[in-house]
Amino acid sequence: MEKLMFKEKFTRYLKTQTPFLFIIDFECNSPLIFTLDEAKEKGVLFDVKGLRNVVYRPVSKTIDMALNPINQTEYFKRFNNVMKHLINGDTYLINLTFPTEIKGNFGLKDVFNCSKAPYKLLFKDEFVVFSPECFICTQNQEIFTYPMKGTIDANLKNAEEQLLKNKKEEWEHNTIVDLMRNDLSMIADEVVLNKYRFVERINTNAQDLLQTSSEIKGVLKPNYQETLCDDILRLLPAGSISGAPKTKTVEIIKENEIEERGYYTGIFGIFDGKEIDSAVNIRFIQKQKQKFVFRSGGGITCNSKADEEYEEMLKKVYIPIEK
Amino acid sequence: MKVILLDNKDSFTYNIVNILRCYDIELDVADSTLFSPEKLKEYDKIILSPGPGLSDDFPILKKAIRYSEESMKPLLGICLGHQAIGEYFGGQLIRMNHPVHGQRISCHVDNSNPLFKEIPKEIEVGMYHSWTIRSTPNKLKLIALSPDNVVLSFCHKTHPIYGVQFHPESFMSKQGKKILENFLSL
Repeated sequence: MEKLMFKEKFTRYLKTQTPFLFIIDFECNSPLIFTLDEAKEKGVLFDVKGLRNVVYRPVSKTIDMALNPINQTEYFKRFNNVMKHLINGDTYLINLTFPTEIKGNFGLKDVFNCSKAPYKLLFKDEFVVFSPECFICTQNQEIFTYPMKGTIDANLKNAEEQLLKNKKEEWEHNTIVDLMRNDLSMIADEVVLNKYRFVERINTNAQDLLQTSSEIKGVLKPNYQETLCDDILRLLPAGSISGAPKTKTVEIIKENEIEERGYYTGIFGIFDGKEIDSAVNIRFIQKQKQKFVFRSGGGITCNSKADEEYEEMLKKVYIPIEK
Repeated sequence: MKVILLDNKDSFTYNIVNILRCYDIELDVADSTLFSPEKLKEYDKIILSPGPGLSDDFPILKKAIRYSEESMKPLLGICLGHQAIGEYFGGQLIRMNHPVHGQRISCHVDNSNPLFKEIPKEIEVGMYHSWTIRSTPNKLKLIALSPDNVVLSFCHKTHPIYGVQFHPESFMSKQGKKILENFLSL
């Protein structure tokens, strides 16, 4: 029922050029849709590259965080299960994530205010997203996606060169590029890889990072507004936070992760009356029974090492800040 | 021309579709686990997609190969589909020590074969596999090999049955579109 109403509103708002906000969970069980005013009334605030439904001044704040992650033994056990599937060819790339309890001098709203990210969402007093990753956006009848894979500490010597030369990063990136080309091809024509592995910089509370992304483009059908909602649902869960091949990989994720993903690694997006822009809900902090939980993970391939992936997961527990 | 693409629950299938859309053919994509082999006779050409796990997990594959063998209709197997062809004709499937997922490697092809017509002898291809067919079965002919001697493509000696271990639909396989076009013109 919820899904039917979601689809009906999504399509109607698109056709009537009514701006709206939508949020979809990883499992696609509880999609939400609000007009921008409704969102504000309900305490759902967003800031997508400056388009926002809240007046606030981004603040500069020093963030201190203490982490209480899943213990290594437990992580290794689950990692090894996943590795068996990789060796067997059941999956080529799988995104494995875990919650890390965090304690710090901030609340969800502080994180929304002081984090620096193109895609920010504060959902009541339940969760906050400050995502660097675009899921899809539309522009003049074309659809774009920007799969993001591969990060390195920007302060390392020759960081950019090291990142681009790293074979494991390259193979993982290739897999996600082919996966996202596939996904766009399900809903669009003339899909092409426009840009391959370009480097961007992110400033965080702990360190600066470089990361690689690619740009894939497809052409939407002339009457795409009619089907865009179903099309977007067909693309979910997003490739970068699930893996390939998707169906089997999602089964393996469910067997090996501790809790349901929920809105974490789902997507959220806005329609500004003309075009859609949306993000993958990564860099995600949620409130669980008065505790704050930062959820993170990474792509695992047959070349991954458990200890490195564990570190990588914790390295992603950061808040990007204004500098 | 009617082409059926049997999708083995894969996430690269629509990369194949994206290429095939450029040609004037009638293309159907079907979930291979739900597809009835009786319907194969409605098509002129058959493509078996890549997929997870082993070819025996998708019983339709060997039925499609048998149908192609009996009907002489062209069939192309990609990755998992290639392995199904190899096994069907008596080849042995072995697990690699180091799976190659997302790797771009160079590949030596026999461009006197119709599948590789007008393609350079040395090409780059994208790979996603952890199993390979160890050696080419008697009824098949080897038509592409990796630098470390992994069987990357074979065809039937007397029937239009082709297998490619690499992924012509990958962005890494620059000649992939031409290979699929060659298959369509068989």
